[in-house]
Amino acid sequence: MKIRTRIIWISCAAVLAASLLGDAIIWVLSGRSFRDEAFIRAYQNAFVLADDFEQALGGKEGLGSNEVYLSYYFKTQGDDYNICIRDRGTGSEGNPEEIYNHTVFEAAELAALSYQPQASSPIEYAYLTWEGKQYVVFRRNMSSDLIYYRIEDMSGVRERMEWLTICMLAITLVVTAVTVLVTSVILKRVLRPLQELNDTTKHMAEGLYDQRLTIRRQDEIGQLGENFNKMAEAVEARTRSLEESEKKKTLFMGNLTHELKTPMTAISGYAQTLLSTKLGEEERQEALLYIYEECNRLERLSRKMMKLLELDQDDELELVDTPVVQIFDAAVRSCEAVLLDKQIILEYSQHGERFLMDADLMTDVLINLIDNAVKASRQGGRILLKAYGTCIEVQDFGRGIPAGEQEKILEPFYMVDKSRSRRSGGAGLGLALTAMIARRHNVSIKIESGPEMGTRMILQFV
Amino acid sequence: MKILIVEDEVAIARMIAMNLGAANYDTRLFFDGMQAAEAMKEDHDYDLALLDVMLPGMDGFALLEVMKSYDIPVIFLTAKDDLLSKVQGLKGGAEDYIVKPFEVLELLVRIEKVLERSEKYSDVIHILNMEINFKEHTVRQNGEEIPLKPMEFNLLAVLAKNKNIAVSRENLLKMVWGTDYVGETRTVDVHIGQLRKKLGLGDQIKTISKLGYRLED
Repeated sequence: MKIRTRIIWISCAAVLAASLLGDAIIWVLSGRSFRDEAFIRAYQNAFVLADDFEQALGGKEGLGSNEVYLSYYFKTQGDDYNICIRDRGTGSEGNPEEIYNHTVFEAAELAALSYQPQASSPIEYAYLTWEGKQYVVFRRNMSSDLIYYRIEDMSGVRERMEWLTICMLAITLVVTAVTVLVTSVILKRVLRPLQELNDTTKHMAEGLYDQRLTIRRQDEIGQLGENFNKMAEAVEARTRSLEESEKKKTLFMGNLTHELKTPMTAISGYAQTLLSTKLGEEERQEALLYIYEECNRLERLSRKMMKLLELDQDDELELVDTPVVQIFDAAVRSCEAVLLDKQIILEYSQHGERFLMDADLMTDVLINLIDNAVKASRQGGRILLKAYGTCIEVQDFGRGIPAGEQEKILEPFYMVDKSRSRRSGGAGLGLALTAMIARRHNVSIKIESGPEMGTRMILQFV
Repeated sequence: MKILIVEDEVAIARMIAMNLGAANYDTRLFFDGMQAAEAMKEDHDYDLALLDVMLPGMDGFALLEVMKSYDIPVIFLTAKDDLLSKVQGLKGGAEDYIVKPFEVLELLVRIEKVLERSEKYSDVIHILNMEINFKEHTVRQNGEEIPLKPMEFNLLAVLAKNKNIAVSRENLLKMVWGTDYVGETRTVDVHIGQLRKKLGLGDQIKTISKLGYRLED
């Protein structure tokens, strides 16, 4: 059941119960007061009538025995609720003589009732129910041997009680209806943010992570909404980054497969050729050499892959304060052969700078950058290796990198000139490795380059 | 037969050239699309072109247009095995599309089929002292006709077309007897024996252990 329906039901039941309880109390109390009031009015009426009768009896001697007069007297009263009987002193057991009775009751019937005395009054009373109607009977023993009965109709009380009941029930119903209406309106207002939250959550569960709540309130529900939005933000960001890394991984795998496929095709092709084709000795040598070279290429590829994977782990690097000259020397020593091969002069300058770094990894970075610079340079060119301020820079004066490609060259397997870099043994992983090492050092890489303008690769330390 | 190879991977280009050379094709290699297109202006006397799709200078699809203008049939050789590239290549007018890595024999057979389709393949092959005439279904040795059974002739034809390349018994079964022939590879051995005896090719048809047979010239 919806929380709104439930609250409405509960509040409706509570209001109804409270209202009915009130009704019951009012009903009991007013029932009593109505009865008392009617009784008192009936009593007063009976008292006055009995008193008048007594005075009339007292005014004329012997009148009490004049039945004609008595009959006349009662007739002048103008109603049919009076009974007058003569009791010849034999008590209530005797044979009472009815002098006047226009009521439906027998005198004996009335005499049989058990009367209760009314305090400090000569009148006694008793209740009587006849044909579903309630009556009260008053009795007074007059000064002569007459007994006077007066019957008062009490059914007015019942009618009033019925009317009261109908009124009260109607009010109860109206109150309950109003309560339900008001509760429902209030609940709708209160629960609307919850409904929105629910809808939004459902959308998010279906994968629409860009859904947000509109916050209209400052209360607890508003706060819930705000926190929900924050959570949604976090979930969306996380999902995005996961999707992105997944996409990157797929691309990486695709590239890797392609990079593997080419040497594999060559190796298996040469092996097949050696097995099935009649070749001259020279060709056999050539085939074997290609197999060897392509195996080396695979090996280089796997080594770089391993390094990338290793660096991708989250172990902290051990950064040591190292003088730049140390890694400069190490890098230049490693690059001597390639430099000599192309007759390139490498000049380096530093002023005793020291940076926090992993010297081996940073040397790898420099070797990589110098290697790239050599590949880009012409025969007999010049490469500058500089350290200044918080920067290390490798500059060449070669081909340069087109503006559109500068962003991409740090991605794995990206090669500006595919065939050329393959022929020089690259797989497009060198700069990806460099970028990874730089990232682990919190070092940013800036590329300044243009076609035929040379390239400046600047490592900016923090 | 002169075949143009445009492939930027030197190792693969050389490997193809090596095999085609052994099968008696003349080959010319280019490692750059643009250079190949330029060279066509001077010499476009080729019977077939093997093109890589991803090429520096000019890609294979553009090069295909150049080849079409010289009426040279084209087979694409590529690492891209997605359907779209295949459709683009074949719809563009390429005769065939081979995905790397491929088997050398597959390449040779496909080349042969393309050459047959473009009727550049001659009806007569001269090998050793034999003249194999496909139209007449005859073999002449030193001008004298040698009677061969149909399957023996077909077997000789396959070996001659792929000369210097070993063909496995399974492949021979498929190519000579047809794919649905459920025979034993022993059948091949028997027919090879017949050929050796009838044509005196005991040394020229070599048994390559674990692989099959090779006809050498």
